[in-house]
Amino acid sequence: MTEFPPGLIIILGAIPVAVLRGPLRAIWMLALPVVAFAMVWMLPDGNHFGIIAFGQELELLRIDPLSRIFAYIFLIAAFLGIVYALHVRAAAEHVSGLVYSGAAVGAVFAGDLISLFVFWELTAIASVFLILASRTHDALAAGMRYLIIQVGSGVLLLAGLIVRWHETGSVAFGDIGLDGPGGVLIFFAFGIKAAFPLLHNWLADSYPKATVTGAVLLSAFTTKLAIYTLARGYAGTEELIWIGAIMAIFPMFYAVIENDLRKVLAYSLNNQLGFMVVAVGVGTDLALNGAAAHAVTHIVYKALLFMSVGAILHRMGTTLASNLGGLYRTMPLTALFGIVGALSIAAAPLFSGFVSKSLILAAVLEGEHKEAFFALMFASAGVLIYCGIRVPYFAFYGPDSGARPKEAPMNMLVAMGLAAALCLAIGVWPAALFSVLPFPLDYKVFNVYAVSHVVTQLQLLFFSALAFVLLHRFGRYPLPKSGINLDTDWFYRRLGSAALRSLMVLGTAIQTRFYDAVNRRGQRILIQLYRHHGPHGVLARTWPTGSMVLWVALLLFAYLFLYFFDIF
Amino acid sequence: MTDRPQQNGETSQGWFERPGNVRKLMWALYIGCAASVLLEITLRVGHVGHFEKMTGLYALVGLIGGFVLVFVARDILARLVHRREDFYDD
Repeated sequence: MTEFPPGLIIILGAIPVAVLRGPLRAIWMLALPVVAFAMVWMLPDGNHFGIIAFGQELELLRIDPLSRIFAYIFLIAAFLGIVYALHVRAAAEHVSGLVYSGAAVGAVFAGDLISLFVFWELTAIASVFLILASRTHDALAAGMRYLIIQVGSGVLLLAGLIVRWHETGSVAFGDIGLDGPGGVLIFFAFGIKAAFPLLHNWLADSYPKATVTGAVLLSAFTTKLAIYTLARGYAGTEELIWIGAIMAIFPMFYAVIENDLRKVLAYSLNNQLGFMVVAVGVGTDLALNGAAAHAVTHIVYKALLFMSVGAILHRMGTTLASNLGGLYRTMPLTALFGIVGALSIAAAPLFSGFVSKSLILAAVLEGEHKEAFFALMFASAGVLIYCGIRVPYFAFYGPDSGARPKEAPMNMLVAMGLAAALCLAIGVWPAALFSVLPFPLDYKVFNVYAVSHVVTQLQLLFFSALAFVLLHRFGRYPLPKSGINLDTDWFYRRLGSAALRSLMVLGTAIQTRFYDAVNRRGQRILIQLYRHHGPHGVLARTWPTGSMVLWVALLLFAYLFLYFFDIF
Repeated sequence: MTDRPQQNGETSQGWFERPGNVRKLMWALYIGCAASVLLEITLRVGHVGHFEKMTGLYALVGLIGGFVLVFVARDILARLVHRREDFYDD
């Protein structure tokens, strides 16, 4: 029993959720990730569940330190997400959330590219319902765009795995690299889900339109699954350092001018993925430890931030910063938890982000990647300004909106409390996190709380806070302003649709001309036919019997002539 | 900007809206900035060579990075990409 893929347990366990109600459903749902976690905890490293399909042995339960840590954090995120969503009555949302979580865990344990592909697509299909469940026109449209892009990533993965299968004769999912065309295709498949620059827009487009509870789950799985697959297949690929550095920087500019706080969080998610992608690109043991550790801390604090902003959405019906402000008066706990999330993402000492970011920065320094180091430093300073200070400030403090919403429901507060406690626990006691990292790390030797390191990080945070204060004081910090900001979605939502429209106009014109030409020609033929065969046509006349006999005689004569001279 | 809903004509002042508190917080920040630089100087005497060990580097990146981020976002990017809410609805 214990040697059964835990992802499948959660997926199969989602079925009864559709019919269960009340406390029984709550207990059942909460038990699923707990049971799965216990199973992973008990199983030793190795391949535990193989099946034969397509003439290949597919590994559905490959446990090693890298898959183990991602499975742990995915299951913790699933648990937190379930607690946060306990007040939701609609079973469909719970079912899709569970299938999505199970698929993500299943993908992490996939030891071959075929089963990875199956779970990869399942995460796309299951998760879209968390967006569609918002039941707005915008959510429907964004959900469809999301689905097309996510399934597109799966198609690229499938194409890549077929090419690779042909090239190497194996579908094993290990180190892939960019050497063959199959490797390049798979790289882009992972890149879409990891929200590489220019392939990123689906994230900021769809996550803010998901349901309050759906966004929490979405923020945890899809992108971090991509980080896991990149770490598995492309560790040490130098291109990733540059891609990650750009990812860490450019979404910040969008976040500064964004009005929708959930969109700000989506951009900050993208920016934090940049840190992990850089670490995967550096590819040393320390760097991969950093990537995995940052995935862990990031999942928790990002879920916490989405939870606290989600609680505002739940109570206020909006997350537009221009409509918020002063909510801490009636939502003090949500505000407090939001601040813990903000301090964690800003990597303040004693909070989780500090620990994991320190590993990544140390690995980048160790590898002498100077440009990437400055990019990440800039990104660390920026994240405090646009997310760490801005989100809590405009939501809970700032100019009073006059609104006095009730505090978040109890289950939401419990989920936020657990996530906040985890952020602090990792920050204060990093040894526990270090003990499950993919590569051994002596935390006594690698001291993230070395005084010089703490001082320099504090310096970075204090001075970027000073920049915020000065900009705010002199009226240079952009106030929340209603409106949207065009991103690469402009290419397909405006340019693409305009191009399609012009193509359709052109096509219609060509079609009309073609039909006109056919019509004219046809009409001419009809006129001719009518002329000859119509009531007054030559061929339609009534001919006398004599002429008929003459024609028959002539035909007979011709036949005799041909027969006589033996022409046939 | 969307109208802010006012309830009961209440004019309560939050912690952040009281000038005394804001001033205290600002002083704490200024002292934090100064202390972090001073501490670094004290700790790093004799540490030379590596680019990351340059005194005040983190302060510089934090301050200048913050300005650059906001100026580029506000004065360049926003002008290029900001549109009204219903831009895609036409």
